[in-house]
Amino acid sequence: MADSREPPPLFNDDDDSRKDDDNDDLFTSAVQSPVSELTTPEDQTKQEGAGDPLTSPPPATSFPPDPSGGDRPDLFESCEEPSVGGFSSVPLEQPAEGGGTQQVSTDAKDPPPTPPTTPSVGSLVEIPLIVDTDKDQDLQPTTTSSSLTHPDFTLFDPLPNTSEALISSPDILTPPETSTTSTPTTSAQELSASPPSSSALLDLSMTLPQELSSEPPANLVDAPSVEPAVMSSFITPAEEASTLDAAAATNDDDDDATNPTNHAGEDTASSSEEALVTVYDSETPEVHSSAPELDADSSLLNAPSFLGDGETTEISLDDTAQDPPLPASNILPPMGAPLTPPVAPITPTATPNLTPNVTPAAPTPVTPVAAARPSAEQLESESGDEFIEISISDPQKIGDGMSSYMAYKVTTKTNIAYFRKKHWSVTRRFSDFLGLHGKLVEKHLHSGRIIPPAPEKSAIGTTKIKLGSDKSSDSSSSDFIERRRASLERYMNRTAAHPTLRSDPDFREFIELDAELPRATQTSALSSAGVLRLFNRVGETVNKMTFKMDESDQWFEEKTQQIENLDAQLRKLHAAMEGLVAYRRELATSTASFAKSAAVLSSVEEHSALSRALHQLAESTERTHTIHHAQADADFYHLSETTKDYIHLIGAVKDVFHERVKTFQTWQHAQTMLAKKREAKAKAELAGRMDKVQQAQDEVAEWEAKVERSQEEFDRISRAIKKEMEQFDIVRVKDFKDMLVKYLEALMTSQQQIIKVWETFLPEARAIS
Amino acid sequence: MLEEGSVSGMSSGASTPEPEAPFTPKFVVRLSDHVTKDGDCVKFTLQVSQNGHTVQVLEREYEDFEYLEHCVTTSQPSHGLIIPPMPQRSAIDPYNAEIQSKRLMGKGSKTLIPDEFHKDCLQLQKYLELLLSHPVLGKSQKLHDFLTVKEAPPRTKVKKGLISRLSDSLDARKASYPDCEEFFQKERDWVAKYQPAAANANDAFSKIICAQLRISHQLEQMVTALKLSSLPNDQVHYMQFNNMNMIFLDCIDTLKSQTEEKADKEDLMFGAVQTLWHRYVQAENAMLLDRTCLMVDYQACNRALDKAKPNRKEAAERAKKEAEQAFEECSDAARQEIKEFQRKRVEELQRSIDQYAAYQLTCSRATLNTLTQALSQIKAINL
Repeated sequence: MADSREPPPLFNDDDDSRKDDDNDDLFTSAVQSPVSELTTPEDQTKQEGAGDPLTSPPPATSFPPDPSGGDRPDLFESCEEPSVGGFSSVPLEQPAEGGGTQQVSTDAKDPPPTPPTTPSVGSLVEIPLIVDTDKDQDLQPTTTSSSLTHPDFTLFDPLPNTSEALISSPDILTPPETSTTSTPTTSAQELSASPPSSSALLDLSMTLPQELSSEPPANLVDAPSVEPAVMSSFITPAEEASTLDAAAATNDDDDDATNPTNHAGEDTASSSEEALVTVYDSETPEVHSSAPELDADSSLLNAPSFLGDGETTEISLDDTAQDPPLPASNILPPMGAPLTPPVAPITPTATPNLTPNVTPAAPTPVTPVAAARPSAEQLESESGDEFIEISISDPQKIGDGMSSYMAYKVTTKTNIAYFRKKHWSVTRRFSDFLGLHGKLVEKHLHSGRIIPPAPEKSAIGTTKIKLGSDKSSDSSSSDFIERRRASLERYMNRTAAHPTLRSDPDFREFIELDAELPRATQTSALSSAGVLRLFNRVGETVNKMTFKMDESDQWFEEKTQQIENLDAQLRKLHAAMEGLVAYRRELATSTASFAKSAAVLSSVEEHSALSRALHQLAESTERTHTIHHAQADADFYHLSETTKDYIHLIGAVKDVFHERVKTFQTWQHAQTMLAKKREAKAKAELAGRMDKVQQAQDEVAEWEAKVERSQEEFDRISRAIKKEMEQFDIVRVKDFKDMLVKYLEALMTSQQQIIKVWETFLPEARAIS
Repeated sequence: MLEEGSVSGMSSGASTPEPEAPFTPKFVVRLSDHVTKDGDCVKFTLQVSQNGHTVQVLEREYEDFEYLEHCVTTSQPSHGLIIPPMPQRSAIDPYNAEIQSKRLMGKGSKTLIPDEFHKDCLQLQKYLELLLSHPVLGKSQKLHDFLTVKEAPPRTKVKKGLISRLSDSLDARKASYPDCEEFFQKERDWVAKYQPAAANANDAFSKIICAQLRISHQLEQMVTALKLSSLPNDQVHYMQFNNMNMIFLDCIDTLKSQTEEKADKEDLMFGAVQTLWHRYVQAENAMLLDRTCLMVDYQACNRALDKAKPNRKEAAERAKKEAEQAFEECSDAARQEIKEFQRKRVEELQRSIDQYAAYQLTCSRATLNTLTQALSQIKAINL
């Protein structure tokens, strides 16, 4: 099922996946957190997806969040913060759902929503409604635009199913909710209990369909965290209030976005909801319907209960379903909406995000490819073994002097549906690669993803090439170019192998957009950004050295140690391999010089038979010389470079770990602040100053929310890292095997060649004597 | 000039008698691997046998060999003889060993090449064989004593004085004198061309050996690094990783010892032979130079005789006769020596080339075998 959803990617625009995500997001967001934390909803959806085919789309959903975040770091941050609040708020209010969807749309519309000041709860509620309407409108256009929307419905089905399940199970929960704060705690507990199961499901899913699972894992991880947040919000009223505020803030952002679009869309939404409901019924979700989904649904249910409107809950679902179409309508027209139809329902929301991102960046709009609508079956089949293969070729020097640069041809072959073509190529320069890496790091690092590092910039090598008059004259510079080309290729393929990263809009734009990318100015070592980066790095290093986190999670403790060891071992191994390569080269050159001197010797030799034997020897050694040389290259490219890549990858892993430590720090900080505020409140109470007590109460609530949020964030990133590491380890073992096989094969070829050389030598030499 | 012509006519015209019967060495010497090292003093054990029976087992030091060489070359007129070259002393003390190791393994290398006495043994054995099989030197009483008397003869430090060096350098200037005989002139030209070429080839070959040794050293480091990189056995893919790691590690380890052995054997089989004959050619060159000196002397005497006043004629005549005789003897011996020398040289070099190629084949096949096994094992692991 998950596959089927992924297929939606068939849309060239990438919107498909996003659409799915969006849909999921909408669902999840509606249920869990109205706040459109892009990441959290996605995560949830992903988790669900892992469990259920339906949920599978979530992986795609993860994309949408990314895009939004990726496009504008500001947005990202703002989104995150609000999102936390949003989670809590969401369960309380359906509006949150709307908000979530809105956010998506807002992102598309208004790229940088700054974290808004917290509006009152009431206002928030209203807002969600508005949002819903907006979404409805959007949905309508999309549906109208293409028949594709129907397929979307099918996609939605899984969600409905889950929702049903949720509803049934939630019932238990809902009563508590109705009881208000006291009951919520129980429900929260129940909910919390469920998440673990979901995670277990996720794990299973991960292991079973590796490819599919690979995408979801990260998202899945994130999702659990979100749920807890929702739960927590239920538990304490105070917290709820705080969360509501946060949500309000997020809602505000949403409102901005939604306001423009706000129109009467409720009716349509409702109608669509009904349709959806029917669909749900008809399509029973797979048995898998994972606990996380249930949780999400339950949260949604709860939220409605709070509101007291059962209908509202339904609406939220509908909205979510509908929402996607709306964005699709907005976005799709330019992007090639028709294509998306199958996914369309999902895509709509996703598309908004995409479009904003893509369109600004790429002046040339991606031409909508009229791809045949892939049937659900097709999608599934394709998703089963999707591959993407990127090759870098034709390095070219463009321009002269210091302003010149190297451009590379990036050729992609893929069967992944969200790419517009199966095979195409674009031209990119080196700094573009660095820029891509920068963008990916900005967007994904904080969510605990291991981002493959880009090749290092080499000032010396580049300068040499820039100043060199002829491109091919210098063998050392052509060596350098070849090395860089190979490492770029490995870098691109590593990135593409990561399901989340490869569906990132920036990545897709990078490999798809047939035009020059805007110059990445931040990559130069000498630019102001470079200096800034340097300062940041120094600061982080100091931080790493000074802050010792007392590790609560044994897994991380072990893993950190393991990573450190691995790093040291790899470095040692790399040093040995470098030496090996160097001496292999030396062997090649000395063999060549021996061949030469043997030739001289043979010309000097007077004894004709010996002279001829020497001549033969010279020729044979000359041939072995080329073999040794090839072997040195094989040593280098197969062993040394792979190992070096892994040293850099370990660096990326460390970054991710450090990111977690930073999250932990924020959490700790929030806790200490909370303690202080509580103390202040207690003092105020003792002093009997009621005016201050009220204020202190507010502050305590605020910090409680923050603690909760940062804890969630911490849990989320911890889980994400675990998933990523699991995947990382698997890939590492696979890479290791590949490396060994390739290397041994290379060794064998050279030995076989050497055997051939001497086999031809011997009879001749014996014939002479 | 006439004299010269007559001389050449005489010496070249006389058909140089082939050695009547191939000279059979009186003793067969084998240096056993038993080598005792006590500080700077390394004692080699020689097993001397005659007609298949062990006659004597002795211990000799490198210095004894040096003294032997001195005695053998000085105790009898050695004009026209190509003296087998004495193997070079290998580094025994830590200081020299370190220098040599650095030369072989690269400046940054921290490894010391251990003493390789088996190489010394083989080279010394070869030296003795060459001495014993030499038709003239093989009959030397000093050599026989060296091989039969239990106690090593008391030796004196052999030192080249300033005077002898000066005369050597004076003699060297005579190397450019044109030879009166075409055979020797050709031989001299050949040696002049051959020597640098052989030196180059030697250097290049020893570099190949070095590179192989260094590769094997790096492979060893890789093995240690790989050994460290095993993961806890608690997960399936970790176990797979460890398995592959082990296979690869073993494979690299085998490759390492193969490379090391190959370098070692190649060095003995080809490098040592090259070096020996390179130095042998140097010895030939020395002999030719010696002969040229005699020739120059002889020519000088001829001129002196021409110019000599009647009262001195007799002395000049005598001097000329002596010089002529010495030169003639030398030339005759040299002709024999050179022919024998070239025959041996060609034979041994050809054999070494042949062996070298055959050994390359066996090595590559063995390596290929190791690789094939490792590869199939790794491929058998399903991820």
